[in-house]
Amino acid sequence: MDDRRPLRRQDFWNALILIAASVFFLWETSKIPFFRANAAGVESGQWYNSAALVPYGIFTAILVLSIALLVIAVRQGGAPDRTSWPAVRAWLTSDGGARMVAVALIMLAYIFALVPRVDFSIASALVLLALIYGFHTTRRAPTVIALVAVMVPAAYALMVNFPQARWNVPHDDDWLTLAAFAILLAAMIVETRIAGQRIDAFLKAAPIIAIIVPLFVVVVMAFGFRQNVPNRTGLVFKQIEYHYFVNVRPFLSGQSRP
Amino acid sequence: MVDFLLQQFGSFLVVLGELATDPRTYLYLVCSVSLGIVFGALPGLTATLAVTILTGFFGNKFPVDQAMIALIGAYVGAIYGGSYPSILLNIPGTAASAATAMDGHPLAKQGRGGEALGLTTTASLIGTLIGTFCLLMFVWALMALSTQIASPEKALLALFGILISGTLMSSDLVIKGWLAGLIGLAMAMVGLDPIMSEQRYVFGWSYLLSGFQVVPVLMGCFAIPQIMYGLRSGPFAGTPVQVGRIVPSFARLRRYMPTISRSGVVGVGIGSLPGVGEDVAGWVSYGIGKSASKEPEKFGKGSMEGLLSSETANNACIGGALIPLLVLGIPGSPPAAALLGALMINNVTPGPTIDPMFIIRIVAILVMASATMFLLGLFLARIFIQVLRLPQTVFLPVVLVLTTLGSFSVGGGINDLFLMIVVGLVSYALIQMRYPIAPLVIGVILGGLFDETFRRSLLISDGDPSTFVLRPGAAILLTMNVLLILSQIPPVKRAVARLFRISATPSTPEN
Repeated sequence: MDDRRPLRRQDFWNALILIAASVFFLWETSKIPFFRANAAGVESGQWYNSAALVPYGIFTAILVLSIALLVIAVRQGGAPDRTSWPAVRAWLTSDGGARMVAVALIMLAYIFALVPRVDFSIASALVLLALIYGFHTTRRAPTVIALVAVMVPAAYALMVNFPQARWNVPHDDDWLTLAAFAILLAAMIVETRIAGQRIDAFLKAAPIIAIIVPLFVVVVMAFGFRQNVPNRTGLVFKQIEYHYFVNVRPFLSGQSRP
Repeated sequence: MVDFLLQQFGSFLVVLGELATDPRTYLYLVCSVSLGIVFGALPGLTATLAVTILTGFFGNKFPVDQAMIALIGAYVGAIYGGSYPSILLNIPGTAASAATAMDGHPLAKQGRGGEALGLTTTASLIGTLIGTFCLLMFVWALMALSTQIASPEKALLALFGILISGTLMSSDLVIKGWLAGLIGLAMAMVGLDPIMSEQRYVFGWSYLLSGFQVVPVLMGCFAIPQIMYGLRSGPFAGTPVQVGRIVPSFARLRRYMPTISRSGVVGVGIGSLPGVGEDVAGWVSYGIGKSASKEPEKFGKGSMEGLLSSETANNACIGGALIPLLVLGIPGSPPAAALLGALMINNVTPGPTIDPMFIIRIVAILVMASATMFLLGLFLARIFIQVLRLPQTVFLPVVLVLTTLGSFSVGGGINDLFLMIVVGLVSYALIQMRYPIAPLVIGVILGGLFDETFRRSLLISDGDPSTFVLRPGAAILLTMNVLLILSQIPPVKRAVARLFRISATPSTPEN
C-alpha cells in the first residue's frame, strides 16, 4: 500500500477541499427558495418545483462521497505527517514540477493577460516561440528565459490596461510583446550556442511556426469563416482588416479603386 | 420486418448517393480523416481532442451536415491513427490503442510491421462497418422503444450514464469516478434553472446566467491537461521501425475474419454503454480474444489475433457510441460527447424527436469516412508514419493556439477562454489525482437534462416519488442504478462474495 501513499495524501487534501466546497454550495443553495418559489411574477410553492432540489442532492452526494474519500485516505496512510511538506517542496522544485508550473503560468498569462489586450497574432507568436523553445529540451535555462519573456509583457498589459474598457483600445503593449518576441528569438540563439547545443531543425522552424500559424488561423477565422476573433484593433489585425476591405475584397469582386 | 429493413437500406443508398455525388464531401472527408489520423498518430493528441478542436471551428459555422462530415471523419481517422505509434513505436497514440501496442510492436520488431498496419487498416474498416450496420439496424428498434421513454426514464438514464462511466473509467477508486460525474453535474447547475428560471450560483456575473458553455468545458477538460502533460514531460519523438508491404493479402484476411467479426460485435456492445469509450472496448475485446484464441500464449508476444481484437473493437465502438447519442442524447464515448456538443450548438436535439433522415445521413457519413480512412491508410501510410518523427513540444503549443481561437469564436468570447483555462487547470489537477475526466464532461452535458426531467417527473406526479417505481421502464433503470451503486460498496461486495463462496463450496457429508 506504500506506493499509494502519495496519492492518498493528495486524496486527503482533495477530500477536505471538496467537503469545504460542498458545504459552501449547500449554504449557497439554501438561498434559493425551496418551499416557496416566486418567478416571473407567479407564486408557486411546491418543494418539487424548486430550483434547489437537484443541487441539494448533488452537493449532499459530493459531501458524503468526500467524507468517504477522506476516511479511505486516512485509513491508507494519507493523513499529513512530518514528511508531507518536504515531499510537496521536493515535487515543486523537481524538474517535472517546475516545468509544469512554468507551463501553467505561461498559459494563464496568455489567456488572462495577453489575449484580451494584445494583438492575437503577436501574443500567440510569443507564446508559441516560448513554449517550443522553453520546453524543447529538458534544460532549465530555456524554460526560465521563456517564462520571463512571456511574463514581462503580460504583467505590463495587465497593469497598464487592466479594465475591460481598455482591452480593445490600441495601445503600446502590442509593441512591447513584439519586442519580447524579438528578444526571445535572439536569446534562444545565443543561449543555445552558449550551452554548446545544436539549434536543431525544429528550433530553426520555431519562429516560422510561431509567426505563420496564428496569422493563418486568425485570417481564416475572421475572413474565411467570418467569425469573431480576439482584439480586432490589435497592431497586426488592424492592418490585415484594412487591406482586406480596401484592397483584397474589391479586387476579388472585380472592382478596383479609381 | 424485411420490408422495413429494405426501406431503411433504400433510404441509406439514396443519401449515400447524394453524398457521393457532392464533390465537397470528398474535400471534407480527405481533410478531416487525414487530420484525424495525424491527431491519432501523434502521442499526446487524442480522438476526443480532434473532434473537440474541430467543433470549435466547424460547430456553428457550417451547415450541420457538413460539420458532421468533418467531425465524424476526424473521429474515425483519429481512432484508427492511434494504431501507428502503437505498432511502430510501442507508444499508444490514443488510449483506445493501448491494447494494440501489446501485440502490434512485437510484430513490428519481427519485421511484420507492414502486415500489421495493413491488416489493422482493413480490420478498422470492417469494425467501423459493423458498428455502422448495427447503428442502422438497432437505432430503429431503440427509436421505437424511446417513444415510451418519458421524463422519469430520461432522468434515471442520465444518472445511469454518469454512474456507469464513473464506475468503468476509474483507474483508482470508484468514488473518484462518481465524484467527477457529480462535479460535472454541479457545474451544469450554474445559470438559470430550466423550469423556474431561477438564478443559481451566478454570483452577480451576467456571463454565468447562460450556464457553462459546452465547447470551452470540452476544450478545458481534454486539451489543456494534454498540453500540460506533454510539455512537462519534454520532447518526445520516435524513430519508427521500417515497414514492408502494407496492402494485406486476401488469404490472411480471410483467416482472421472470425476474430474481426467477434471483436466488431464486442466493440459495438461496449460502445453503446453510456460514456464507456474505445479504450475500454479495445481492452475488453483483447481479453475476450485471448480467452477465445487457440494460441493464447502468443498474446503479448506478437499475436495478430490480439492486434486485430483490439483494433477492430475500438473502431466498431464508434457506431456503438452513436446509438445512445442519437436515440437518447447520451454520449457513448468521450469523442461522442464532443460530437453531442457540436449538435447542441447547432440546435439539433438528439432523442426520440430527432429527424430519422439525420440518422441515415450520419450512417452514410460513417460509411464514407471509413472508406476514406481505409484508402488513406493503405496508400498514404508511409506519409503518416513520417508524422511520428514530430516532437510533441512543437505541435502541442500549436494546439493551444487552435484551442484558444476555437473556444473564443464559438460565442462567449473572452469569458469562454477564462472558463476554458480554469476548467483545464482543475481537470489537470483531477487527472493528476487519478480522477477520470470523461464522467465530468458527461455530467456537464447531461446535467441540464437530468435536472429538468427529474423535476418535471415530480411536477407531473404532484411530488409523488413513486413515479420512479411504478413505471416499468423507470423501475428497471432505478434498479440498475441502485445495483450499480450497491455493487461498489465494500460491505455489500464482501457479502456477495461470501454468498458466492458458500454456494460454490461443495457440501461435505457429515460423519
